[in-house]
Formats: sequence, structure tokens, C-alpha cells
Amino acid sequence: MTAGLLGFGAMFALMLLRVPIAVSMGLVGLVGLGLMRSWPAAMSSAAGEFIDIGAYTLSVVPLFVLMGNFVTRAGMSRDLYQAAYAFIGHRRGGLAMSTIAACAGFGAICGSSIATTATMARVAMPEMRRFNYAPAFAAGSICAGATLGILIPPSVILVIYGIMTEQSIGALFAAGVIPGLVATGFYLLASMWITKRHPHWGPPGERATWPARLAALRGIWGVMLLFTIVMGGMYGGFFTPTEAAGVGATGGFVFALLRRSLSWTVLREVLVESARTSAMLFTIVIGASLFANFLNFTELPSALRDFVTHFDLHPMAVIVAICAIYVVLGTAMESLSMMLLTVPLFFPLVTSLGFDPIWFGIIVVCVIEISLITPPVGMNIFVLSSVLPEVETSTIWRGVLPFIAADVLRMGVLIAFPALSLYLPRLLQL
Amino acid sequence: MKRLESLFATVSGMALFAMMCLTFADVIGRKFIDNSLPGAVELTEIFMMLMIYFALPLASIASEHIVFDLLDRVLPPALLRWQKALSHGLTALVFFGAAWVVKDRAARALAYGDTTATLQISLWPLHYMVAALLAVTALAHAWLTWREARRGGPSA
Repeated sequence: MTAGLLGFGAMFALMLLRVPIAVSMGLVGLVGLGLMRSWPAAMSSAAGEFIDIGAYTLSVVPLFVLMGNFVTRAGMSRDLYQAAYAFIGHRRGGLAMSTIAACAGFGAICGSSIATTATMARVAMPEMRRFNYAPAFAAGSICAGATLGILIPPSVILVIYGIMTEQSIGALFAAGVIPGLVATGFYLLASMWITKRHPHWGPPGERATWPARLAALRGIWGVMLLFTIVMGGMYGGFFTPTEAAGVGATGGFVFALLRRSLSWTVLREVLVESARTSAMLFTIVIGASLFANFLNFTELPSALRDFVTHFDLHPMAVIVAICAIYVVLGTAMESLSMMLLTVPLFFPLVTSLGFDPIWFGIIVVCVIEISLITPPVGMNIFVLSSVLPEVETSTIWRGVLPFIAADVLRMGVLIAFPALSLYLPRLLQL
Repeated sequence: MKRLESLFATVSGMALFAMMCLTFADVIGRKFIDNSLPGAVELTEIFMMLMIYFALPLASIASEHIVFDLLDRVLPPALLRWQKALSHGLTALVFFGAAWVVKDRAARALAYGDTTATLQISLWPLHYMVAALLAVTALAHAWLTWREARRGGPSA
């Protein structure tokens, strides 16, 4: 157990030295494994991780990243926003609500909240500014709405959770649908609450006529078609998640082509950007696998289990404690590495307490969503302030607070009612 | 340097595009023509390796690896520069180590004559390539170390 704690300590020390998180995890994992077992074994397992990262099932990651980047370039976010605006834009706070709805729609074809933040900021912020929205409210709605991208399938984070814990990616995706809708609902309620308290923060937009609404709906057929093909194909038994990702990426490519948003330069940019993002993600996966291998040799995971049994803690108390740890860690740590670092420790504990691993995946992703918008280290806040340098970071911080409250409430609901996550995967018999 | 970066970017991007087309063709072939592409899985795996490891040095040069940079704002610039130099130096060593262990694995693949299952493609050149590209990534970090130590500044 000491070895495990020392490992965590060494890793955090390296991180504080500004060593990339992937490298910190990998190095500690390798050295730890070398000291506890043998050096040849440690080196051979390291070499194995570098080679096995090319495994076929992992190709689902770059393909979904690529699909997200294609649809981002194709400008589908604008159509989604206009469709949402046509229906709810005339309400008080309607533009912020349209932003959230459009983010949810975009999340259904893109699995990255960073891409969602960046693209939605460009589309929604000018509109909200035109209607004199309070900058904090506008920025908060974009940051929070964009977190939906990693919960609503397809989701790169859920894929990586599935790979790490050997759970079905199809089941995880199905499990994300209802919680994603619940989350959208909570964000909409948060917007309504904000404009109730500060009516001048979100003045209503223009009311659209019914013919205009139907016309706006026609603009999002591409998004709906792509989502239907990818998800329908996966659950209709036509293809595996990996194949769905390949088909989705090809679909995104075709849409970008049809909408004339691809030149050779843009195509190359999209491909290289996706490849670089994937390489970065895979480096973290390699580092985390090495760290997890080491952690399994220490007695830390079983010590944690003994601790829980010894004090006879209620399983629910354990889940709440884990969530609290995540929220605290998430204020200072980057989300993906936080998940990869802690799941090897928490996953065995949670499953031994009899919780469903799919449900736990959804809970983990929800806490990660919170960590994306909690200051000081919230990836979405960083991305938004880099896209909109004129909005003060402190303004964004203020703007996300009500949405963080909505997130906490939603967590409570998802923990209290596991059926919300598990109904669809069971219905689809995954 | 720029040309080399461009070459790496092209190879890695093309590998990703090929992977996409291959997966798509495989699905179409199997579902509609009832004839899957032989060896599609192992070709995908080869493209994966090309994509990941040619992109890795690019991700390093672009400072895309996630670091804990919360202290950047409070550290004095001189200290931050040395911190960056130190961390890049350590990262370079780790990637050199990785190149070394993968090289041993490649030597074994060569000695045993390991091949892919269907198309019987020899694996050793691929594994040597991974080792070489990990070494290139290490060199990229060594270069970043040198740059930070020499002139530094909060540019990277």
C-alpha cells in the first residue's frame, strides 16, 4: 500500500515539475513495476503498450475525433443554432437556451467538448452580443452546453472508459442518451432561473413564424442523418462501434465536401489535427496503462476495499465520496488524465460494491463534465477565453456557477435513479 | 525543419484518411457485397501505427501534451524557463527509453520472423519504425530543452 501511495506522490511531484501528465504516469508506472517485479518485465510491458496501442479496436478513437472535426468544419453548428433559435429564441433567455439545445445537438455528432466549445462560441456569441446578453450568462451557457458533447454519444471519453474497463462501447453510448437529455433539461432550467432573477441578462430574441421554423428544421437534416446512420447502424447490428466511427468519419467527410467547406489545405489540416489529438490521447492512454499495471501490483486497490469493508461504509456513501473527490480533483486537474488516473483505483471498488460498471461510467463522465467548467482549471473555460479573448476569464467563472449548481443537482438525480442510465442499454440488450 | 514537419504531417494525415476509407470500404463490402476486404483489420493496425507515431513528434513540437500549468502564472519567468527546460529534458529521456525498449521488441520480431495473420506482412520494419519515431519525439523534446535553456521566455 505504501508503494502505491508513493507512486501517486511521485506522479504528482512530476506533474508539478510540468512534466506532461502522460509521461509522469508512464515513468512512475515503469519504475514502480521495475522495482516491485523486475526490470525486464517492466520494460517488456512498456514495449508492449507502445506496440499494442495500434490495436484495431482502438482505431475507434481517431475515427470519432476525425468525424467531430469534419462536422465542426462543415459548419453544422450554425444550422443547429438557427433551428433551436427559431423555436425558443423568442423566450426570455432564449438565445442562451438555443445555445444549450444546439450544443446538445452538436454533441450527438461530435464527441469532444473542446470542439463544441470552440465552434459554438463562434456561432452563438455574436448573436447573444447583438441582443445585449450579459457576457457572463452568454459565456456560461456556451461553456456548460459544450460539456454535453462528451455525455451524448458518440463520446471520445466514454470510448476511452470502455477500453480501459473492458466495457461495451455500444452499451456505454446507449447509457449516455437519457442522462444527456436530463442534463440538457437541467441546463435549460438553470437558464430560466437566471433570467428570472436577472431579466435584463437575457432579453428575448425575435419570434420566428412557423414556416420559418420548418425551414430552419430543414437545415439540420444532415446532422440528423449522420446521427441516425452512426447510432442506428450500431444498434441495428449493422456495425461495431469501430465501424460506426469509420462510417461516421466518412459521413462527416462527405458533408464537409457537399457544403464546400473542404479545400485541400483544410482537408490536410483536419486530418493532421485529428492525428495529433489522437497521438496525444494515446500517449495518455499508454502512460495510464503503465501506471495502472503498477497500481495493480501494489496493494492500494485492495487496501481501499478493505478500508470500506472495515468501516462498513454504505455503498452510496462511497459513491458520493468518490464524486466529491472527483469534483475537488477536477478543479485543478485536466479531465481525461484525472479519469485515467483514478479509474484503476475506483473501478474495482465500485464493482465489488455491486454497482453497475456502465452506470459508473456515466457517473464518471458527468463528474468530468463538471471538471470541465470548474475554475481554475476547466478546459472549456480555457478554450472559450482563447476563442473570445475580449471576455474576461473572471466573467466566465461567474457565468458558469449556476450551471455547476445544475450539474450537481443532475448528479444527484443520476445517482438516485440508476435506471435513467441503464434503461436504454437493457432495452437494447447490450 | 519545416519540411520535415510537413512530411510527418502528410504521412500521418494520409494514414488516418486511409484508415477511414478502409473501415468504410470494409463495412460496405461486408454488408452489401457480402465480401469483406481480406486483412482489413491488420491494415488498419498498420495505419494506426503510422498515424500515431508520425503525429507524436508534431504533438510534442506544438506543445499539445497536457501539462499541469496552474503554477505558470505565479512562478517567476526565469524559474518557469528552467522548469520547462527540466521537464522537456526529462520527457526526452523517457521517450529515448521508450525508443530503446521498442527497439528490443523489434529485434525480437525480426529474430522470430513475426508477421501479421492474414497478409503475412513482416512486423519488424513497423516496430523499428515505431522505435525510430519515438527517438525523433525524444529529439524534439531535446530541442525544446535546448531552446528553453538558451533563450526561453514564456513563448512555448
